Amino acid sequence: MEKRKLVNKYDIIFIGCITIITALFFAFNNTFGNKKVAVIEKDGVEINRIDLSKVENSYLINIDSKYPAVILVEKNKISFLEASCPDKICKKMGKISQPNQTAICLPAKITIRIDGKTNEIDGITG
Amino acid sequence: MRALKLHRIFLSNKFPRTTFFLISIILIVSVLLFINKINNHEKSFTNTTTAMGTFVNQTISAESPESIAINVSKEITDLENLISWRIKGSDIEKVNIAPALEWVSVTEKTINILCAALNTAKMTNGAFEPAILPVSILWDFSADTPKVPNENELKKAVSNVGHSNLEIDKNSLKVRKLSPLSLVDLGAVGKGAACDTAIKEYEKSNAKSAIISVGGSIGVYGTKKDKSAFNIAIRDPLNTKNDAVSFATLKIYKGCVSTSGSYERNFNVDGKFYHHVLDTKTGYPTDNDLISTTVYNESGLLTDILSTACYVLGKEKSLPLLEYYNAEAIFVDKSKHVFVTKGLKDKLNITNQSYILCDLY
Repeated sequence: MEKRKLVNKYDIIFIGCITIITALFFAFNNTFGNKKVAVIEKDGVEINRIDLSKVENSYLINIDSKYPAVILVEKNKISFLEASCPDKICKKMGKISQPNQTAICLPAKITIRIDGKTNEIDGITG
Repeated sequence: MRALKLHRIFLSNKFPRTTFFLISIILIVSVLLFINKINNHEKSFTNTTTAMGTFVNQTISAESPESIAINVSKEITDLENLISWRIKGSDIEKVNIAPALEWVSVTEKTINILCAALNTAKMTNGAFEPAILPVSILWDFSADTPKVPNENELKKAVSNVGHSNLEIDKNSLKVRKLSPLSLVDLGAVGKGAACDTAIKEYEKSNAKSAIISVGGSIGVYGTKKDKSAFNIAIRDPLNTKNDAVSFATLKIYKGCVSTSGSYERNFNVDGKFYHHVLDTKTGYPTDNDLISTTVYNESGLLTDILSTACYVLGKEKSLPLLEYYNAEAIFVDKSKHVFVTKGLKDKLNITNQSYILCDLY
């Protein structure tokens, strides 16, 4: 009677393929962090998270607060469009598009930051 | 002989090959999942709040990072409510509105910050000046149409600037001013002091690692999960439009970093450039060769004080001061020359090659 082997050459190839595919899946998952994601927070509480790279048509987000603000979401960038705060500094901050950039409206306590790691930078001083 | 029996089961026809494959796949996937879990998914939380006239961005790795972040942002707001001259009822407002010679009771936090600021003011002969409000109030860099203050008004204001008009009684937590027109503005140090407050809280709440940015002042704490250094980018002072572009990176394991630069708050009138780092002697923006100074130290308060002081002093005069405080610095001048003190030499990496590393000594 022919002895049956536990694994043959093809089994090893098959298992190898599965390993590579799963590894690739995780690698892909981890680089997912490189997307351009805008995070809108009011008083430190996240109220919106938008993948800016996937925005096709620009749209507006109204944020209710002591000083209501309108945020303009465009492909790869985001900005304060209208603000009812007294100083309007948030509007002057312009459109932000790079990871680690932040736009804020101090009176309304609304912040927008762009998430995503670039060159493994933990923070920017300046 | 159990192993042998198992071996037989595997080899027998009762054990279908598909089952064998399924088991292998599940094993591989779970091992990978497990590795992925320990490597990447320690609980980390990022949030952004506002305080000290800017944003407060924290990334914390801990068991319950959310509650730490909330505590820290509350503590920073509490600190702001003590040291901001703009806030009614703050310690500094009380000092500013009190009549001359009258002692004002303040909190220990405020006294400690005032003492540090006054100390540097004395050492720098007023190049760094906590009692600069008479001048700084005349400059509004965020106005719709910013104006250069009237020359005579500015001259008069400069004569009222001076830390020698402030007296501190550290033991009884009291402050008084000797001249009625003397006014305190701690705007140049609040962000650094906020970083210290945060680091203290991270320590207290046993965070694994954390990084806080209060505007451009940064504090780091703990050890990152991969045990690598924190990589801090330094903003490109000549790229005024995009605050996320850097010219260099600095690797640090602990402590704080603050930067002062002419690009931060400024305006142009009649072709002339005006920025917010004011020369306490003239009342006008500091006019030397520098465009950015970055200071590294354990204390955020000191980095904030020293980055302003060193910017005003210029690099040669800054060296004894930095040595005294055991602080390190990076200077950038208008010709894109970068000067770095000994302690940071191997930690700094210039990423924009148009900036040239030069010899400081």
